Amino acid sequence: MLELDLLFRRGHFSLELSERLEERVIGLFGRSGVGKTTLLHLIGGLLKPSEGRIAIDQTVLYDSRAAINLAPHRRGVGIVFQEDRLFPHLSVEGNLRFARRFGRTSKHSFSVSDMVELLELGPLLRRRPKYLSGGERQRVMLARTLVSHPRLILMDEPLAALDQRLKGQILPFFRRVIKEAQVPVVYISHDLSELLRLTSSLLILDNGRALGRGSYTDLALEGPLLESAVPTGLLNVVPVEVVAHEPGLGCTRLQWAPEDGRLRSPDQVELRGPLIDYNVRQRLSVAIRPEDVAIATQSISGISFQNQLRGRIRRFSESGGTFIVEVDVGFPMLVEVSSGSFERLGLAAGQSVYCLLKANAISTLP
Amino acid sequence: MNLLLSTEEWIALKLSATVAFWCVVTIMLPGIAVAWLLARKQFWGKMIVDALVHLPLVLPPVVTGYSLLVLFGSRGVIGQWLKESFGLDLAFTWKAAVMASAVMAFPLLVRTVRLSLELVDRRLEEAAMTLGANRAWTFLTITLPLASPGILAGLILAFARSLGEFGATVTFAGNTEGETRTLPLAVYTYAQSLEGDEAALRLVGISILFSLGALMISERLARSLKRLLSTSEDGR
Repeated sequence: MLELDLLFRRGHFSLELSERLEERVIGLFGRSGVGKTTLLHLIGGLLKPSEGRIAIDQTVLYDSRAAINLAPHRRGVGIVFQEDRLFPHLSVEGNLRFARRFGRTSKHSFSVSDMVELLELGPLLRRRPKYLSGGERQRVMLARTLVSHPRLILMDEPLAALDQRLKGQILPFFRRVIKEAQVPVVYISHDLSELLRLTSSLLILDNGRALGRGSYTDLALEGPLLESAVPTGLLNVVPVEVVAHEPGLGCTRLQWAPEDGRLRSPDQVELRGPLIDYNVRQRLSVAIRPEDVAIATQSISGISFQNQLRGRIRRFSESGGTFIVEVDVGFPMLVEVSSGSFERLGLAAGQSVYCLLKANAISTLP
Repeated sequence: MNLLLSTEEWIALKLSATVAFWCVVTIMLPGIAVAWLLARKQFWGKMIVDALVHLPLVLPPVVTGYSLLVLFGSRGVIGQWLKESFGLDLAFTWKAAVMASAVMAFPLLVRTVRLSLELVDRRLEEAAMTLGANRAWTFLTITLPLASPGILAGLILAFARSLGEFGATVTFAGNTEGETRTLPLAVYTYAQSLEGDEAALRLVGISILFSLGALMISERLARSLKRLLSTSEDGR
């Protein structure tokens, strides 16, 4: 559990936060300049709060009243930085050994060779950081942080400097590590689609304050809360597996494939997306914008939409003339409906409806 | 003209090298420490320390030498105490020559090292600390290696400065053959004597070779170190 009770002032900027974070993986979301990196530096001990308390489980890292302020090297807070902070005078292996030498010791922890295997670093070990590509550098930084056996891992927009294609290649490594690590992870990003592929527990930061905290769907239905922090709008991020390609129909059949290994059945929700360049059985995430989904109260024949997903309305909320409706189609799907349509259809919680969307409304996330 | 060095000239050359070597050894650690203080710490009186360190750079060397004589001479404030407590008589010995050139070379070393310490990316030190390295280890394993081209350049500069030191040495250490007559002092002495032209020229030639060699070696070393430490492939 990460306990944050913080006040930090510098110039006109102030950060004030009081949160108890119990989830193992938390996505810290917010636009740039709202204090995400400041918060991370405060937790890591690179900045000192004006007052407050920071604790991980039973270990107090900072407490202004008890005059406790552990030095960064004694905190055991591992940071995966946004920019390249590999030691240029050491090889990749040297960087990893550095972390192993100075890091904490713990029972269930990664050895250098574990990390090399998990993150496929074998061919890079003898290289110096300057001979690595951007994506390789982030992988090595991730490995280096884990090898130091931190109590808590903070990831500060580790993929922000990479282009979309590279992001898609590196993200699975992060997912793998986050899954394997036994310690809490705070992943910072201003990219909702990136965050939602790693966790659905979010803490939203805006202007140095927590705007909201909870599961993504909860936050989305608390309307204005999330909207104010999401300039690009809401998003459904759905993990899927490729079932088959249908060139004749111009579509690829995708099946919802939750990460947490819930049993999949043949009649599991299937989506028809545009033809994509993925192999059958390959897993990926797709994004669906709530405004690209339509709701019908009954199945409609003679319509070009390739997807008609049957589901039940769980809840909804209104903001500024539009309704955000959560429909359980097997997974929670957020749908945007104008208030006119909402009333005309007489939608209500518990009602059985169909979600209609075109194949092209489904976009793959790199 | 005879190109072979005479015994006296050899002695002057060897003495110069010895004095320069001990000068560098003496100021290495204090130089790095002071440079680190000036580069990284804010403290009361920092400007005064900074000015004191750099004073020999702007003072006439003779003034520096004379000040050393007043302080460390056998009747000087510190010199008298050293003599009575330890039986140490510095002035007009080769140790005085080391001291004189050390004081003269110190600001050059501090300046160069300070600059290279200031150029070390602090974010790398932060990264080292979050990985569990304390300040001392971070300094030894990250800061120092990354600043090494500058430190090396500073040491070679100090060595060269010591080889060429004249004013402070002649004032504080004198011009005793085989004891304090370093290369520049020998050149001066030969140039003053009637038949010394040839010897003076030989030593001038040696000095030029020595200095050129030092410069070239330091340039080479600094360049390969920088290549080793650069963060990007085309970085220099």
